[in-house]
Amino acid sequence: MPTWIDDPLFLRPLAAGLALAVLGAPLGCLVVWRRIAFFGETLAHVALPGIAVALIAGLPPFAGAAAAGLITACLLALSSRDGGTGMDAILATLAHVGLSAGLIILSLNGAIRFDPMSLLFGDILALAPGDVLSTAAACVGGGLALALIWRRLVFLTLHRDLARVSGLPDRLYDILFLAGLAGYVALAMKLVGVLLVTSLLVIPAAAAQPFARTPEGAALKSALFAGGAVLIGLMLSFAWDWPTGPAIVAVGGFFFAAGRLATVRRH
Amino acid sequence: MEAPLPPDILISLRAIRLSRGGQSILEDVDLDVSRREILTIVGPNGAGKTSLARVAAGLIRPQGGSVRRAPGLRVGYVPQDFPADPTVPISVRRFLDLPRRLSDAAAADALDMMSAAHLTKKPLARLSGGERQRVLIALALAGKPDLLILDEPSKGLDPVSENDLYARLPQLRDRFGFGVLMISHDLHVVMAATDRVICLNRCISCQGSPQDIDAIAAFRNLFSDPESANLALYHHRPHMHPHSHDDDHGGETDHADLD
Repeated sequence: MPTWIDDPLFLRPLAAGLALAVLGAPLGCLVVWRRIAFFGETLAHVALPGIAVALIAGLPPFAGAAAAGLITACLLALSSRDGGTGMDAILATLAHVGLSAGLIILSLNGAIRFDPMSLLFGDILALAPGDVLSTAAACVGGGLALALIWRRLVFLTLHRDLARVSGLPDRLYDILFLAGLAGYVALAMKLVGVLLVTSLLVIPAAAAQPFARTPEGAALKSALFAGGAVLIGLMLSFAWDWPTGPAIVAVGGFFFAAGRLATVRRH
Repeated sequence: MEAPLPPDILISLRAIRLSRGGQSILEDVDLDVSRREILTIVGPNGAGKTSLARVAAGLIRPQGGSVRRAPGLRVGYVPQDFPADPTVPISVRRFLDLPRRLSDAAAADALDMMSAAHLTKKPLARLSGGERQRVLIALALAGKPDLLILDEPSKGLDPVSENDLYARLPQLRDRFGFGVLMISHDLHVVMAATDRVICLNRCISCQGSPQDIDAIAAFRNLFSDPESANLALYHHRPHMHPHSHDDDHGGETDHADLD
Protein backbone atom coordinates (compact mmCIF):
# COMPACT_ATOMS: atom_id res chain seq x y z
CA MET A 1 0.00 0.00 0.00
CA PRO A 2 1.40 3.39 -0.93
CA THR A 3 1.72 5.75 2.01
CA TRP A 4 -0.44 8.50 0.45
CA ILE A 5 -3.57 6.41 0.10
CA ASP A 6 -5.09 7.55 3.41
CA ASP A 7 -3.43 10.96 3.41
CA PRO A 8 -5.91 13.85 3.55
CA LEU A 9 -3.86 15.44 0.78
CA PHE A 10 -5.05 12.58 -1.43
CA LEU A 11 -8.50 12.02 0.03
CA ARG A 12 -9.61 15.66 -0.05
CA PRO A 13 -9.18 16.20 -3.81
CA LEU A 14 -10.58 12.72 -4.35
CA ALA A 15 -13.79 13.57 -2.52
CA ALA A 16 -14.16 16.93 -4.28
CA GLY A 17 -13.27 15.37 -7.62
CA LEU A 18 -15.81 12.57 -7.28
CA ALA A 19 -18.56 15.03 -6.35
CA LEU A 20 -17.71 17.14 -9.40
CA ALA A 21 -17.56 14.04 -11.59
CA VAL A 22 -21.06 12.95 -10.58
CA LEU A 23 -22.62 16.39 -11.17
CA GLY A 24 -20.63 16.90 -14.38
CA ALA A 25 -21.94 13.68 -15.91
CA PRO A 26 -25.55 14.71 -16.68
CA LEU A 27 -24.45 18.26 -17.52
CA GLY A 28 -21.79 16.87 -19.85
CA CYS A 29 -24.33 14.61 -21.57
CA LEU A 30 -26.54 17.63 -22.30
CA VAL A 31 -23.50 19.50 -23.61
CA VAL A 32 -22.62 16.62 -25.91
CA TRP A 33 -26.22 16.11 -27.09
CA ARG A 34 -26.61 19.81 -27.82
CA ARG A 35 -23.28 19.85 -29.63
CA ILE A 36 -22.11 22.81 -27.57
CA ALA A 37 -18.78 21.51 -26.29
CA PHE A 38 -17.13 24.71 -27.42
CA PHE A 39 -19.65 26.69 -25.43
CA GLY A 40 -18.36 25.18 -22.20
CA GLU A 41 -14.86 26.00 -23.30
CA THR A 42 -15.83 29.64 -23.74
CA LEU A 43 -17.52 29.78 -20.34
CA ALA A 44 -14.31 28.47 -18.78
CA HIS A 45 -12.08 30.93 -20.58
CA VAL A 46 -14.14 34.00 -19.75
CA ALA A 47 -13.95 32.98 -16.10
CA LEU A 48 -10.32 34.08 -16.06
CA PRO A 49 -10.98 37.84 -16.26
CA GLY A 50 -13.72 37.29 -13.68
CA ILE A 51 -11.22 35.70 -11.32
CA ALA A 52 -8.66 38.43 -12.01
CA VAL A 53 -11.12 41.19 -11.15
CA ALA A 54 -12.30 39.30 -8.06
CA LEU A 55 -8.70 38.96 -6.83
CA ILE A 56 -8.05 42.65 -7.29
CA ALA A 57 -11.30 43.55 -5.53
CA GLY A 58 -10.53 41.16 -2.71
CA LEU A 59 -13.49 38.87 -3.46
CA PRO A 60 -13.40 35.07 -3.58
CA PRO A 61 -12.18 33.91 -7.02
CA PHE A 62 -15.13 31.54 -7.34
CA ALA A 63 -17.56 34.48 -7.23
CA GLY A 64 -15.68 36.24 -10.04
CA ALA A 65 -15.59 33.12 -12.18
CA ALA A 66 -19.27 32.36 -11.64
CA ALA A 67 -20.33 35.96 -12.35
CA ALA A 68 -18.33 36.16 -15.57
CA GLY A 69 -19.74 32.82 -16.69
CA LEU A 70 -23.32 33.76 -15.83
CA ILE A 71 -23.13 37.06 -17.70
CA THR A 72 -21.66 35.37 -20.76
CA ALA A 73 -24.19 32.54 -20.62
CA CYS A 74 -27.15 34.93 -20.43
CA LEU A 75 -25.85 37.09 -23.26
CA LEU A 76 -25.27 34.07 -25.47
CA ALA A 77 -28.63 32.49 -24.60
CA LEU A 78 -30.45 35.68 -25.54
CA SER A 79 -28.51 36.26 -28.75
CA SER A 80 -28.21 32.67 -29.89
CA ARG A 81 -30.61 32.76 -32.80
CA ASP A 82 -30.08 36.03 -34.58
CA GLY A 83 -28.14 34.67 -37.56
CA GLY A 84 -25.24 36.65 -38.95
CA THR A 85 -21.84 35.59 -37.68
CA GLY A 86 -21.54 31.86 -37.01
CA MET A 87 -21.79 30.81 -33.38
CA ASP A 88 -18.47 28.99 -33.51
CA ALA A 89 -16.65 32.17 -34.50
CA ILE A 90 -18.35 34.17 -31.72
CA LEU A 91 -17.47 31.53 -29.14
CA ALA A 92 -13.85 31.28 -30.26
CA THR A 93 -13.49 35.05 -30.17
CA LEU A 94 -14.98 35.33 -26.69
CA ALA A 95 -12.90 32.46 -25.35
CA HIS A 96 -9.57 33.78 -26.47
CA VAL A 97 -10.28 37.42 -25.77
CA GLY A 98 -11.45 36.37 -22.31
CA LEU A 99 -8.31 34.35 -21.64
CA SER A 100 -6.08 37.16 -22.84
CA ALA A 101 -7.96 39.84 -20.91
CA GLY A 102 -7.63 37.77 -17.75
CA LEU A 103 -3.88 37.41 -18.13
CA ILE A 104 -3.47 41.12 -18.92
CA ILE A 105 -5.52 42.19 -15.90
CA LEU A 106 -3.47 39.89 -13.66
CA SER A 107 -0.20 41.30 -15.04
CA LEU A 108 -1.35 44.92 -14.56
CA ASN A 109 -1.77 44.45 -10.86
CA GLY A 110 1.70 43.68 -9.62
CA ALA A 111 0.57 43.59 -6.02
CA ILE A 112 -1.10 40.24 -6.48
CA ARG A 113 1.21 37.26 -6.36
CA PHE A 114 -0.57 34.63 -8.34
CA ASP A 115 0.63 31.67 -10.28
CA PRO A 116 -1.23 31.72 -13.59
CA MET A 117 -0.40 28.05 -14.01
CA SER A 118 -2.64 27.14 -11.07
CA LEU A 119 -5.51 29.01 -12.74
CA LEU A 120 -4.91 27.46 -16.13
CA PHE A 121 -4.33 23.87 -15.05
CA GLY A 122 -5.89 23.67 -11.61
CA ASP A 123 -4.52 23.43 -8.12
CA ILE A 124 -6.48 20.60 -6.68
CA LEU A 125 -3.86 19.66 -4.10
CA ALA A 126 -4.27 23.06 -2.44
CA LEU A 127 -7.87 22.29 -1.46
CA ALA A 128 -8.74 23.13 2.13
CA PRO A 129 -11.14 20.90 4.09
CA GLY A 130 -13.77 23.65 3.90
CA ASP A 131 -13.42 23.72 0.10
CA VAL A 132 -14.21 20.02 -0.09
CA LEU A 133 -17.32 20.44 1.99
CA SER A 134 -18.61 23.44 0.05
CA THR A 135 -17.87 21.76 -3.29
CA ALA A 136 -19.72 18.63 -2.23
CA ALA A 137 -22.67 20.66 -0.93
CA ALA A 138 -22.85 22.66 -4.15
CA CYS A 139 -22.75 19.46 -6.18
CA VAL A 140 -25.60 17.90 -4.21
CA GLY A 141 -27.70 21.07 -4.56
CA GLY A 142 -26.93 21.36 -8.26
CA GLY A 143 -27.68 17.68 -8.81
CA LEU A 144 -31.09 17.95 -7.15
CA ALA A 145 -31.98 21.04 -9.16
CA LEU A 146 -30.90 19.34 -12.35
CA ALA A 147 -32.93 16.22 -11.56
CA LEU A 148 -36.03 18.39 -11.23
CA ILE A 149 -35.75 19.84 -14.74
CA TRP A 150 -33.92 16.93 -16.40
CA ARG A 151 -36.84 15.59 -18.48
CA ARG A 152 -37.64 19.06 -19.78
CA LEU A 153 -34.01 19.76 -20.66
CA VAL A 154 -33.83 16.45 -22.54
CA PHE A 155 -37.00 17.30 -24.46
CA LEU A 156 -35.71 20.74 -25.34
CA THR A 157 -32.40 19.24 -26.43
CA LEU A 158 -34.09 16.63 -28.59
CA HIS A 159 -36.61 18.87 -30.32
CA ARG A 160 -36.93 22.53 -29.46
CA ASP A 161 -40.07 23.17 -31.52
CA LEU A 162 -41.97 20.24 -30.06
CA ALA A 163 -40.98 21.29 -26.57
CA ARG A 164 -42.16 24.83 -27.22
CA VAL A 165 -45.50 23.75 -28.65
CA SER A 166 -46.02 21.59 -25.57
CA GLY A 167 -45.77 24.79 -23.53
CA LEU A 168 -42.16 24.71 -22.35
CA PRO A 169 -40.63 28.20 -21.94
CA ASP A 170 -37.44 27.41 -23.84
CA ARG A 171 -35.50 30.59 -23.12
CA LEU A 172 -36.01 30.17 -19.39
CA TYR A 173 -34.72 26.59 -19.46
CA ASP A 174 -31.82 27.58 -21.70
CA ILE A 175 -30.77 30.17 -19.18
CA LEU A 176 -31.21 27.78 -16.25
CA PHE A 177 -29.08 25.19 -18.01
CA LEU A 178 -26.36 27.62 -19.07
CA ALA A 179 -26.30 29.21 -15.62
CA GLY A 180 -25.85 25.77 -14.13
CA LEU A 181 -23.07 25.12 -16.59
CA ALA A 182 -21.36 28.39 -15.67
CA GLY A 183 -21.65 27.54 -11.99
CA TYR A 184 -20.22 24.10 -12.60
CA VAL A 185 -17.30 25.47 -14.56
CA ALA A 186 -16.51 27.91 -11.74
CA LEU A 187 -16.62 25.05 -9.22
CA ALA A 188 -14.59 22.60 -11.24
CA MET A 189 -11.89 25.09 -12.13
CA LYS A 190 -10.01 24.33 -8.90
CA LEU A 191 -9.76 20.73 -9.94
CA VAL A 192 -8.45 20.95 -13.47
CA GLY A 193 -8.10 24.66 -14.25
CA VAL A 194 -9.53 26.96 -16.89
CA LEU A 195 -7.98 25.17 -19.83
CA LEU A 196 -9.09 21.67 -18.92
CA VAL A 197 -12.43 22.21 -17.21
CA THR A 198 -14.65 21.29 -20.15
CA SER A 199 -12.76 18.05 -20.58
CA LEU A 200 -14.31 16.95 -17.28
CA LEU A 201 -17.75 17.55 -18.81
CA VAL A 202 -17.26 16.44 -22.37
CA ILE A 203 -14.84 13.50 -22.32
CA PRO A 204 -16.70 11.17 -19.90
CA ALA A 205 -20.04 12.01 -21.55
CA ALA A 206 -18.65 11.33 -25.01
CA ALA A 207 -17.06 8.09 -23.79
CA ALA A 208 -20.40 6.95 -22.36
CA GLN A 209 -22.55 7.59 -25.44
CA PRO A 210 -21.79 4.32 -27.29
CA PHE A 211 -22.97 2.33 -24.27
CA ALA A 212 -26.12 4.28 -23.48
CA ARG A 213 -29.69 3.39 -24.39
CA THR A 214 -31.49 5.95 -22.24
CA PRO A 215 -30.67 9.54 -21.26
CA GLU A 216 -30.31 8.50 -17.60
CA GLY A 217 -28.17 5.53 -18.56
CA ALA A 218 -25.87 7.88 -20.44
CA ALA A 219 -25.59 10.14 -17.38
CA LEU A 220 -24.90 7.19 -15.08
CA LYS A 221 -22.22 5.67 -17.31
CA SER A 222 -20.71 9.08 -17.82
CA ALA A 223 -20.54 9.49 -14.03
CA LEU A 224 -18.73 6.15 -13.76
CA PHE A 225 -16.19 7.17 -16.39
CA ALA A 226 -15.68 10.59 -14.80
CA GLY A 227 -15.32 9.12 -11.31
CA GLY A 228 -12.88 6.54 -12.63
CA ALA A 229 -10.83 9.22 -14.36
CA VAL A 230 -10.66 11.29 -11.17
CA LEU A 231 -9.65 8.30 -9.05
CA ILE A 232 -7.06 6.86 -11.42
CA GLY A 233 -5.76 10.28 -12.46
CA LEU A 234 -5.18 11.26 -8.83
CA MET A 235 -3.44 7.97 -8.12
CA LEU A 236 -1.15 8.45 -11.11
CA SER A 237 -0.47 11.95 -9.93
CA PHE A 238 0.52 10.74 -6.45
CA ALA A 239 2.39 7.66 -7.57
CA TRP A 240 4.42 9.16 -10.39
CA ASP A 241 4.19 12.85 -9.66
CA TRP A 242 2.18 13.63 -12.79
CA PRO A 243 0.41 17.03 -12.87
CA THR A 244 -3.03 16.24 -11.43
CA GLY A 245 -5.42 17.94 -13.86
CA PRO A 246 -3.70 16.61 -16.96
CA ALA A 247 -3.50 13.11 -15.41
CA ILE A 248 -7.29 13.09 -14.89
CA VAL A 249 -7.89 14.28 -18.44
CA ALA A 250 -5.50 11.70 -19.87
CA VAL A 251 -7.33 8.85 -18.13
CA GLY A 252 -10.64 10.22 -19.45
CA GLY A 253 -9.13 10.27 -22.91
CA PHE A 254 -8.12 6.64 -22.49
CA PHE A 255 -11.72 5.71 -21.58
CA PHE A 256 -12.99 7.61 -24.59
CA ALA A 257 -10.64 5.80 -26.95
CA ALA A 258 -11.42 2.41 -25.39
CA GLY A 259 -15.16 3.03 -25.78
CA ARG A 260 -14.70 3.97 -29.42
CA LEU A 261 -12.66 0.85 -30.10
CA ALA A 262 -15.24 -1.33 -28.38
CA THR A 263 -18.05 0.02 -30.57
CA VAL A 264 -16.02 -0.21 -33.75
CA ARG A 265 -15.40 -3.88 -33.00
CA ARG A 266 -19.08 -4.48 -32.33
CA HIS A 267 -20.11 -3.33 -35.81
CA MET B 1 -61.81 43.98 -26.75
CA GLU B 2 -62.52 41.76 -29.68
CA ALA B 3 -65.63 39.65 -29.78
CA PRO B 4 -65.07 36.09 -28.52
CA LEU B 5 -64.34 33.41 -31.08
CA PRO B 6 -67.37 31.56 -32.39
CA PRO B 7 -67.57 28.26 -30.52
CA ASP B 8 -66.79 26.11 -33.54
CA ILE B 9 -63.57 27.97 -34.41
CA LEU B 10 -60.35 26.47 -33.02
CA ILE B 11 -57.92 29.08 -34.24
CA SER B 12 -58.36 32.32 -36.10
CA LEU B 13 -55.55 34.16 -37.88
CA ARG B 14 -56.24 37.67 -39.18
CA ALA B 15 -54.12 39.86 -41.46
CA ILE B 16 -50.96 37.93 -40.66
CA ARG B 17 -47.87 39.69 -41.91
CA LEU B 18 -44.42 38.19 -41.65
CA SER B 19 -41.09 39.12 -43.16
CA ARG B 20 -37.52 38.08 -42.56
CA GLY B 21 -34.41 39.93 -43.58
CA GLY B 22 -36.47 42.54 -45.43
CA GLN B 23 -38.15 39.88 -47.51
CA SER B 24 -41.87 39.40 -47.24
CA ILE B 25 -42.97 35.87 -46.37
CA LEU B 26 -46.65 36.28 -45.55
CA GLU B 27 -48.88 39.17 -46.56
CA ASP B 28 -52.28 39.77 -45.06
CA VAL B 29 -53.19 36.13 -44.51
CA ASP B 30 -56.54 35.27 -42.92
CA LEU B 31 -57.22 31.73 -41.84
CA ASP B 32 -59.73 29.94 -39.60
CA VAL B 33 -59.77 26.28 -38.67
CA SER B 34 -63.04 24.89 -37.38
CA ARG B 35 -63.59 21.89 -35.16
CA ARG B 36 -63.55 18.60 -37.09
CA GLU B 37 -62.31 20.35 -40.21
CA ILE B 38 -59.33 19.22 -42.29
CA LEU B 39 -57.82 22.28 -43.93
CA THR B 40 -54.92 21.88 -46.32
CA ILE B 41 -52.52 24.56 -47.45
CA VAL B 42 -50.87 24.07 -50.82
CA GLY B 43 -48.43 26.31 -52.62
CA PRO B 44 -45.08 26.41 -54.36
CA ASN B 45 -41.66 26.41 -52.72
CA GLY B 46 -41.06 29.56 -50.68
CA ALA B 47 -44.77 30.35 -50.52
CA GLY B 48 -44.63 30.65 -46.72
CA LYS B 49 -46.52 27.42 -45.95
CA THR B 50 -44.24 26.26 -43.18
CA SER B 51 -44.03 29.78 -41.74
CA LEU B 52 -47.82 29.95 -41.64
CA ALA B 53 -47.98 26.59 -39.84
CA ARG B 54 -45.38 27.82 -37.36
CA VAL B 55 -47.35 31.01 -36.74
CA ALA B 56 -50.46 28.90 -36.09
CA ALA B 57 -48.48 26.64 -33.74
CA GLY B 58 -47.27 29.67 -31.80
CA LEU B 59 -43.63 29.12 -32.75
CA ILE B 60 -43.24 32.39 -34.61
CA ARG B 61 -44.73 35.70 -33.63
CA PRO B 62 -45.92 37.51 -36.75
CA GLN B 63 -45.00 41.16 -37.26
CA GLY B 64 -48.58 42.08 -37.94
CA GLY B 65 -52.03 40.64 -37.49
CA SER B 66 -53.62 38.60 -34.75
CA VAL B 67 -53.66 34.94 -33.75
CA ARG B 68 -56.57 33.92 -31.58
CA ARG B 69 -57.07 30.48 -30.14
CA ALA B 70 -60.07 28.84 -28.52
CA PRO B 71 -59.60 28.93 -24.73
CA GLY B 72 -57.50 26.01 -23.50
CA LEU B 73 -56.74 24.85 -27.02
CA ARG B 74 -54.38 21.87 -27.11
CA VAL B 75 -52.18 21.92 -30.18
CA GLY B 76 -50.41 18.90 -31.60
CA TYR B 77 -47.60 19.92 -33.92
CA VAL B 78 -45.87 17.59 -36.33
CA PRO B 79 -42.76 19.23 -37.78
CA GLN B 80 -41.16 18.02 -40.98
CA ASP B 81 -38.45 16.14 -39.10
CA PHE B 82 -35.82 16.43 -36.42
CA PRO B 83 -33.55 19.46 -36.89
CA ALA B 84 -30.47 17.20 -36.84
CA ASP B 85 -29.87 13.54 -36.28
CA PRO B 86 -31.02 12.94 -32.73
CA THR B 87 -27.97 12.63 -30.48
CA VAL B 88 -29.89 11.74 -27.33
CA PRO B 89 -29.97 7.99 -26.69
CA ILE B 90 -33.66 7.36 -26.17
CA SER B 91 -36.20 4.76 -27.18
CA VAL B 92 -39.42 5.59 -28.98
CA ARG B 93 -41.37 4.67 -25.85
CA ARG B 94 -39.42 7.08 -23.65
CA PHE B 95 -39.60 9.78 -26.32
CA LEU B 96 -43.39 9.65 -26.05
CA ASP B 97 -43.02 10.36 -22.32
CA LEU B 98 -41.18 13.63 -22.81
CA PRO B 99 -44.11 16.11 -23.01
CA ARG B 100 -45.93 14.29 -20.20
CA ARG B 101 -45.75 10.77 -18.86
CA LEU B 102 -48.05 8.34 -20.64
CA SER B 103 -49.36 5.04 -19.39
CA ASP B 104 -48.07 2.06 -21.37
CA ALA B 105 -51.56 1.56 -22.73
CA ALA B 106 -51.82 5.16 -23.95
CA ALA B 107 -48.38 4.98 -25.56
CA ALA B 108 -49.19 1.68 -27.28
CA ASP B 109 -52.49 3.13 -28.47
CA ALA B 110 -50.84 6.23 -29.94
CA LEU B 111 -48.23 4.16 -31.77
CA ASP B 112 -50.87 1.73 -32.94
CA MET B 113 -52.83 4.53 -34.58
CA MET B 114 -49.79 5.11 -36.79
CA SER B 115 -49.05 1.37 -37.26
CA ALA B 116 -45.84 1.96 -35.33
CA ALA B 117 -46.39 -0.35 -32.35
CA HIS B 118 -43.40 -2.46 -33.39
CA LEU B 119 -41.09 0.55 -33.04
CA THR B 120 -41.68 1.08 -29.35
CA LYS B 121 -38.33 -0.26 -28.12
CA LYS B 122 -36.26 1.04 -31.01
CA PRO B 123 -33.76 3.86 -30.38
CA LEU B 124 -34.98 7.08 -31.93
CA ALA B 125 -31.68 7.60 -33.74
CA ARG B 126 -32.06 4.30 -35.59
CA LEU B 127 -35.44 5.07 -37.16
CA SER B 128 -35.77 5.71 -40.86
CA GLY B 129 -37.25 9.02 -42.02
CA GLY B 130 -40.66 7.45 -42.53
CA GLU B 131 -40.60 5.74 -39.14
CA ARG B 132 -39.61 9.02 -37.46
CA GLN B 133 -42.56 10.70 -39.14
CA ARG B 134 -44.98 8.09 -37.77
CA VAL B 135 -43.53 8.47 -34.29
CA LEU B 136 -43.80 12.26 -34.47
CA ILE B 137 -47.47 11.98 -35.45
CA ALA B 138 -48.06 9.41 -32.70
CA LEU B 139 -46.51 11.84 -30.20
CA ALA B 140 -48.87 14.58 -31.35
CA LEU B 141 -51.90 12.25 -31.14
CA ALA B 142 -50.89 11.10 -27.65
CA GLY B 143 -51.32 14.69 -26.44
CA LYS B 144 -55.05 14.49 -27.31
CA PRO B 145 -54.95 17.66 -29.41
CA ASP B 146 -57.90 19.82 -30.33
CA LEU B 147 -55.94 21.07 -33.31
CA LEU B 148 -53.40 19.01 -35.18
CA ILE B 149 -50.89 20.93 -37.27
CA LEU B 150 -49.09 18.75 -39.79
CA ASP B 151 -46.20 20.17 -41.80
CA GLU B 152 -45.72 17.94 -44.83
CA PRO B 153 -46.71 14.84 -42.90
CA SER B 154 -45.93 12.48 -45.77
CA LYS B 155 -42.32 13.58 -46.04
CA GLY B 156 -40.11 10.51 -46.06
CA LEU B 157 -43.04 8.12 -46.42
CA ASP B 158 -43.19 5.65 -49.29
CA PRO B 159 -46.27 5.89 -51.55
CA VAL B 160 -48.11 3.07 -49.78
CA SER B 161 -47.60 4.59 -46.33
CA GLU B 162 -48.49 7.99 -47.70
CA ASN B 163 -51.83 6.81 -49.03
CA ASP B 164 -52.36 4.96 -45.78
CA LEU B 165 -51.72 8.13 -43.75
CA TYR B 166 -54.18 10.20 -45.71
CA ALA B 167 -56.82 7.49 -45.61
CA ARG B 168 -56.35 7.33 -41.85
CA LEU B 169 -56.48 11.05 -41.15
CA PRO B 170 -60.26 11.53 -41.68
CA GLN B 171 -60.88 8.39 -39.59
CA LEU B 172 -58.81 9.75 -36.72
CA ARG B 173 -60.58 13.07 -37.06
CA ASP B 174 -63.95 11.30 -36.81
CA ARG B 175 -62.76 9.36 -33.78
CA PHE B 176 -61.21 12.24 -31.83
CA GLY B 177 -63.01 15.22 -33.29
CA PHE B 178 -59.92 17.37 -33.72
CA GLY B 179 -59.38 19.93 -36.45
CA VAL B 180 -56.43 19.59 -38.80
CA LEU B 181 -54.26 22.24 -40.39
CA MET B 182 -52.09 20.46 -42.88
CA ILE B 183 -49.42 21.49 -45.31
CA SER B 184 -49.09 19.32 -48.30
CA HIS B 185 -46.89 19.07 -51.29
CA ASP B 186 -49.13 17.14 -53.57
CA LEU B 187 -52.53 17.54 -54.96
CA HIS B 188 -53.97 14.05 -54.90
CA VAL B 189 -53.69 14.17 -51.14
CA VAL B 190 -55.70 17.36 -51.05
CA MET B 191 -58.43 15.71 -53.05
CA ALA B 192 -58.60 12.58 -50.93
CA ALA B 193 -58.41 13.72 -47.34
CA THR B 194 -59.33 17.37 -47.00
CA ASP B 195 -62.48 19.39 -46.50
CA ARG B 196 -61.06 22.71 -47.60
CA VAL B 197 -58.01 23.92 -49.48
CA ILE B 198 -56.10 27.18 -49.26
CA CYS B 199 -53.69 28.07 -52.03
CA LEU B 200 -50.90 30.13 -50.58
CA ASN B 201 -48.25 32.11 -52.33
CA ARG B 202 -47.26 34.66 -49.66
CA CYS B 203 -50.88 35.72 -49.70
CA ILE B 204 -53.95 33.57 -50.14
CA SER B 205 -54.70 33.28 -53.82
CA CYS B 206 -57.71 31.03 -53.64
CA GLN B 207 -59.63 28.79 -51.29
CA GLY B 208 -62.57 26.43 -51.34
CA SER B 209 -63.49 22.79 -51.47
CA PRO B 210 -60.96 20.56 -53.24
CA GLN B 211 -63.36 20.25 -56.15
CA ASP B 212 -63.78 24.03 -56.40
CA ILE B 213 -60.07 24.62 -56.30
CA ASP B 214 -59.59 22.06 -58.96
CA ALA B 215 -61.72 24.11 -61.29
CA ILE B 216 -60.17 27.50 -60.53
CA ALA B 217 -57.58 28.73 -62.93
CA ALA B 218 -55.96 30.69 -60.14
CA PHE B 219 -54.76 27.47 -58.69
CA ARG B 220 -52.80 26.72 -61.79
CA ASN B 221 -51.55 30.31 -61.97
CA LEU B 222 -50.20 29.82 -58.49
CA PHE B 223 -47.33 27.95 -60.00
CA SER B 224 -46.55 30.84 -62.26
CA ASP B 225 -45.06 28.99 -65.13
CA PRO B 226 -46.66 27.91 -68.37
CA GLU B 227 -45.29 24.46 -67.78
CA SER B 228 -47.50 24.11 -64.77
CA ALA B 229 -50.21 23.08 -67.14
CA ASN B 230 -48.58 19.75 -66.51
CA LEU B 231 -50.41 19.86 -63.26
CA ALA B 232 -53.54 18.86 -65.04
CA LEU B 233 -51.75 15.83 -66.23
CA TYR B 234 -51.80 13.98 -63.00
CA HIS B 235 -54.68 15.90 -61.67
CA HIS B 236 -56.97 14.14 -64.08
CA ARG B 237 -55.52 10.81 -63.14
CA PRO B 238 -55.93 10.97 -59.41
CA HIS B 239 -54.89 7.37 -58.75
CA MET B 240 -51.49 7.87 -60.23
CA HIS B 241 -48.81 8.78 -57.76
CA PRO B 242 -47.56 12.28 -58.54
CA HIS B 243 -43.89 11.38 -58.44
CA SER B 244 -44.31 9.24 -61.51
CA HIS B 245 -44.70 12.45 -63.51
CA ASP B 246 -40.93 12.41 -63.87
CA ASP B 247 -41.45 10.06 -66.77
CA ASP B 248 -43.68 12.55 -68.55
CA HIS B 249 -41.43 15.51 -68.94
CA GLY B 250 -37.84 14.90 -68.09
CA GLY B 251 -36.19 16.87 -65.33
CA GLU B 252 -38.38 19.98 -65.15
CA THR B 253 -40.72 18.69 -62.54
CA ASP B 254 -40.47 21.29 -59.81
CA HIS B 255 -43.55 23.21 -60.81
CA ALA B 256 -45.80 20.23 -60.84
CA ASP B 257 -44.53 19.00 -57.53
CA LEU B 258 -46.62 21.52 -55.59
CA ASP B 259 -43.98 21.79 -52.92
